[in-house]
Amino acid sequence: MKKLFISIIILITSINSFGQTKISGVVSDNNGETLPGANIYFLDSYDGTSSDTLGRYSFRTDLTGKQILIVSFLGYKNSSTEMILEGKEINLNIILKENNNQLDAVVISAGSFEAGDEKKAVVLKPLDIVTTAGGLGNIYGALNTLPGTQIVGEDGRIFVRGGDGYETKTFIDGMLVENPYSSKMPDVPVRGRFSPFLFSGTMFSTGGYSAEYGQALSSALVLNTNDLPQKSVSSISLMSVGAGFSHTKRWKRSSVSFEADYTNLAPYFNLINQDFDWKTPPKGFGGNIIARKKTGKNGLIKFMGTFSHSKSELSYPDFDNIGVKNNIGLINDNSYLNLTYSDILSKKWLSKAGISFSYNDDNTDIDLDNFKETNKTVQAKYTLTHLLNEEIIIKFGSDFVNRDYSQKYFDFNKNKTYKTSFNDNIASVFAETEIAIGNKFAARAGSRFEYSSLISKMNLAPRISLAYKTGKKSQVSFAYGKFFQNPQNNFLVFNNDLDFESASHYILNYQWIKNDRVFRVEAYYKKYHGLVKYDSLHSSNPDAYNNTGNGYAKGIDIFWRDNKTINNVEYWISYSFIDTERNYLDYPETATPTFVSTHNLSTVVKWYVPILHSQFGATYSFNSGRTYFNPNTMDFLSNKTGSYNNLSLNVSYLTNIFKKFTIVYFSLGNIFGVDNIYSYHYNSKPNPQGIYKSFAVKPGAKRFVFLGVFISI
Amino acid sequence: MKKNVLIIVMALFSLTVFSSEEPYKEEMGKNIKSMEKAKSLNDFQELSNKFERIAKAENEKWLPYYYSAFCTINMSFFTKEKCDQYLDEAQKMIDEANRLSPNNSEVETLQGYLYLGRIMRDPQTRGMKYSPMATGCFEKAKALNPNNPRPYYLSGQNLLHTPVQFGGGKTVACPILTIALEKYNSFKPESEISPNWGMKETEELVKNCSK
Repeated sequence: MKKLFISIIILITSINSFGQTKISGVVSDNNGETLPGANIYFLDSYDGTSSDTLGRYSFRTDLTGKQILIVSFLGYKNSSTEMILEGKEINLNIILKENNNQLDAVVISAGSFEAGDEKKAVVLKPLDIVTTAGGLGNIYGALNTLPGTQIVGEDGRIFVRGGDGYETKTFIDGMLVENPYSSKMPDVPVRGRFSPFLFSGTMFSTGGYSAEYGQALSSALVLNTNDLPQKSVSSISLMSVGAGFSHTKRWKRSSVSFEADYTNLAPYFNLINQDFDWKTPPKGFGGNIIARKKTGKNGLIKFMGTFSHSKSELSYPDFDNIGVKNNIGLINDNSYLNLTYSDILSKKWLSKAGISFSYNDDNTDIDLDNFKETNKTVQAKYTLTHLLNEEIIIKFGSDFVNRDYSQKYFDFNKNKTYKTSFNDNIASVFAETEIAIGNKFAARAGSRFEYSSLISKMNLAPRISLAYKTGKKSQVSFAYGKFFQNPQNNFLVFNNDLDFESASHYILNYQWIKNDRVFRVEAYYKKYHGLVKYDSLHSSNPDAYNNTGNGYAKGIDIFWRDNKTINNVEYWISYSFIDTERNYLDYPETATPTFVSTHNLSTVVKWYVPILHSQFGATYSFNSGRTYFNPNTMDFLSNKTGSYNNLSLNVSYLTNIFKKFTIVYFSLGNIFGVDNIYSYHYNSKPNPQGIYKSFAVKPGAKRFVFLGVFISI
Repeated sequence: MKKNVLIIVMALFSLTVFSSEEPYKEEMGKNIKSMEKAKSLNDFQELSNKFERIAKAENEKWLPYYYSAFCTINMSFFTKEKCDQYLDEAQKMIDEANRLSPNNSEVETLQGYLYLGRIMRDPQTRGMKYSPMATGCFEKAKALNPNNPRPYYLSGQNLLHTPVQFGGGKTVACPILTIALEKYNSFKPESEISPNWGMKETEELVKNCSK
């Protein structure tokens, strides 16, 4: 009996000593790079270790029999290896496969600037739009500091890579915004209608964008509104050009906020003399309501409604009658509604539905004549995203747009009213798939089909983007796509026998990102077909409208951003070179359009000084001269203006007023008062000496000053 | 004799069954000790791995997840480049800890600590979003256990680093840090391996307050 007892004891202890197994090896990735800090352990036991700085690991275990060795490392897929432990030393080298959703995985970057995912926000940060000097809270002003855009000071819209202003479309939460800009007065630049504070994500594409977006030849700007605000808050803003109030109420799963503002430029114009002959300086009021509601586990309903009413009157030279000025008065009413619902249907299906409504009415008096232009656009859109597996995502959807447009012209002399209108239904479907092969290669391929009822034409637009990682920090991407757009309203309303205008984009992009520095260079070629053309200047014969216009644009865009080298300083430099010509509208021959300058440079610097609680910003823009047509020379668009130079500064100072958090914002545009000339206007008829007289198109004043105080209460 | 053997065998068995908590506590205790000495990213990585191994083996215990997350958050302070990746990983572990022990003042505090890590990466861009989120966590943690000193310590520290204009600064932070220190002095951790960090740091901060 004693024997048995002893043998039991021996057995128990021998299991312990006999069972010790040493296991060692090296952990590396599929490129052969060793991985220090990986976790190596047996499933359901404490036994394990971490790999050392050379990726090596080694440990002993008392476990015996069949066991599973797990190796895990951040950014890589776990590996599990089954093995039998019997005291014999085991040497096992482990190769881990990268996770596809790694932060430094390849991304499709050709043509796009993104700000939104804060973890990847190196190229552009959400706040950049607000804090860029010279941007003045105007989204489009800030985008003008990015490569591929042109500053067209008297217009204000964004012009992308040789494209006209109408070729860029704005989308909010994926839904179309028909009138993103304020209404136009002659030579006075428009502004974006939406405050940049409404958005936390921006995707600005200068070409080659996804098949989800259509009806834009050159560029898509996709703005994503904020999710639920953090807390309830009220704020007051007092500005040199107006005042506003807003209130946000936050509940656990929902929120509502409203904002009202009043703008009047009269006091400012009294203070700082304007070259424009304002009869009524711009004034108006507006507001918005924004609501959010979470539904179920992952559902989110977003609503946004905005409206505005504005008025202005200007005395402006009549090109047809020398020495005569006309009073041009504009009353604008605008509203925009946007409702979206997004939800996760199952682990693999995401759904998003939305409707939007754009309404705009421009009522313009030109002396005693009146011109009234109204458009109403309704859009309904549905998209489904299917995560097939880790490598493949499929997205498809359809979108339906109804556009109702009307013009009314009252001719005082003839005492006659001319009315014309159109109604167009554009139905589209699109499908797109995104494929990721490891962390190195990604592709996006899709197609968009559109049908327009007004012109009874359809189009099929293929889009493809490829990206390949060339090094740890660098990648190359390529994009190709076809883009279609209906002719502009003022042509369609007179002639619906037109076809789509179209553009093909070819883009090659190289991007290098390390720590907080980015370098990108992008070369592109763009070909235009079917641009609307008509015979002669001021053609009054709509039957002559046709789609024989064409053009091209090619160039290089360079972008460098550095948030690291100098403490508390972020800066970026954009440079674009462009060569473009087109023959469209009333052009008698192919020429470089007036909105293009060959060389474009922007430098943006933001410097935060903690002791002063202030951020200083500076933006310098340089554009080489733009073409204009001097009828005295008869050579079409052969003249060029001088270059454009502008240095703008801003300061935001954070402080307390009556214990309320306050931001004081001051901005000064064109501090050196450079006399920038955008273009020249010529009279349509020569004077008795046979000379066409001209006047320069310039900003209203050389410098622009803005002061604002924003208080949270 | 037979009886004796049986007793011994049973005793051996029962010992192993009875003591299954022992290796856990021992291993945890050892790691928590070395956590106090951890100084580098590698130190924290190794500890995070150790806690993670325990977490996976134990399956239903929140503390190893808690400590693994704590170490991973500390790792994020050493690197700007991988900061968010570490915090994403830590978030997963906090979610696990939360699942295993919902409405836990310590886990809630750790969540706030993670948000502070997000802010550190880029204070100007992220402060506006994450600062109220962190504050929310600390407030909730205080409500769940008013004796827990850690939410006081972290919110005090956060306020100390917040500009006066944003409602921070010494005058606001120091009283809170003093409360934190009082709470540390009377704090009794639930067990030897329960969270019990932050006192030394609080003492340092309070010392600076009186300067």
